[in-house]
Amino acid sequence: MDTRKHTINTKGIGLIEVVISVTVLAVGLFGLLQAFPHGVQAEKDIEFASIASYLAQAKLEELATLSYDEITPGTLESGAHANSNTDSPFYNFLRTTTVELLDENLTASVTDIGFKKISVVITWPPVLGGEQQTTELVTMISKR
Amino acid sequence: MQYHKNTNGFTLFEVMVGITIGVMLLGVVLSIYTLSVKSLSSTQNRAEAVQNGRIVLERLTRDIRQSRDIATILPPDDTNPLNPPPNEIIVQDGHNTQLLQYVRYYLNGTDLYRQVLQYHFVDEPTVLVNYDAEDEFGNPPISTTISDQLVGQYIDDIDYYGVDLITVVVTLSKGSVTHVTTTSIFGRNL
Repeated sequence: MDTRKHTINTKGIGLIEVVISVTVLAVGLFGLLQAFPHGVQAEKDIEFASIASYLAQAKLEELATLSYDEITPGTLESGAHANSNTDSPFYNFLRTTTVELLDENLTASVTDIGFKKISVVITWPPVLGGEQQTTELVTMISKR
Repeated sequence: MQYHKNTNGFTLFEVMVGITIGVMLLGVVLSIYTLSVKSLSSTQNRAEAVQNGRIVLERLTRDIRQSRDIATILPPDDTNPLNPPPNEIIVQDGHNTQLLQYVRYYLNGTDLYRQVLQYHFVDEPTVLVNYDAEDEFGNPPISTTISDQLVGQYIDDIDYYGVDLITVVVTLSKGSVTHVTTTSIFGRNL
């Protein structure tokens, strides 16, 4: 039992080691925390993307009420508010509608052979900064 | 054993420092856990609201786009408080051209139901008639429910307006999340 005298405990964890490990853990946890705003942003963006595609579809339906000749080539609207009422949840969705003439190869053309391409672009401000979000619906109409 | 020479244990100070660090770490981990639970619940609520909104708009789009007659009289817009948009709509079923029947979308609490209706006069149950038909005495037909199914949940409000181009605005909420979505539908057979 006399050997107990020589076993001076030097194997514990020093303060420096504790501080380092706590720092590493804190950095890790901080990194984990960053994931939440991104998750919320992604979720909101998905919601807005869903709304935007319905707004684009609504514009295509509105144009479907018109005849081929009533839809004139060019930019029909640029950056128009999806709803002009500032209280509306759709006010910040901006819509640009363009109509192009197409040739038989479905590329842009200046002569009307009875093909038009309509594209509706909806943009909306991002939730947590960054670039504008955009969705686009394209359809083609032909003269009947 | 010489108890007075024991220097291997922790001092009170060391134990207190250890507990403090441990409690602080636990606090941070707990707050992250709480945050993740809140975030999960809000994500799930939003996903469900968006999904239900999408289902409702898709079902309505399909029925209104194909319909040959809109039985509900709709206001031209949603801005006139004296003529507010209704919360339900009845359209003639345009998918079954052999059968004269109607599709009614109505709210029951926060649930949206799709009901298929057929109209007939009392004395002629096999002859289907229009919803606004009248018999020789000026009586309206009676309706029979063919099916009545739940289409969407968590719906606070649903509005229909517009004459040729019918606009639907759906407001959904689940938990603390509110989702408003809209689209317009042009009935191809109207």
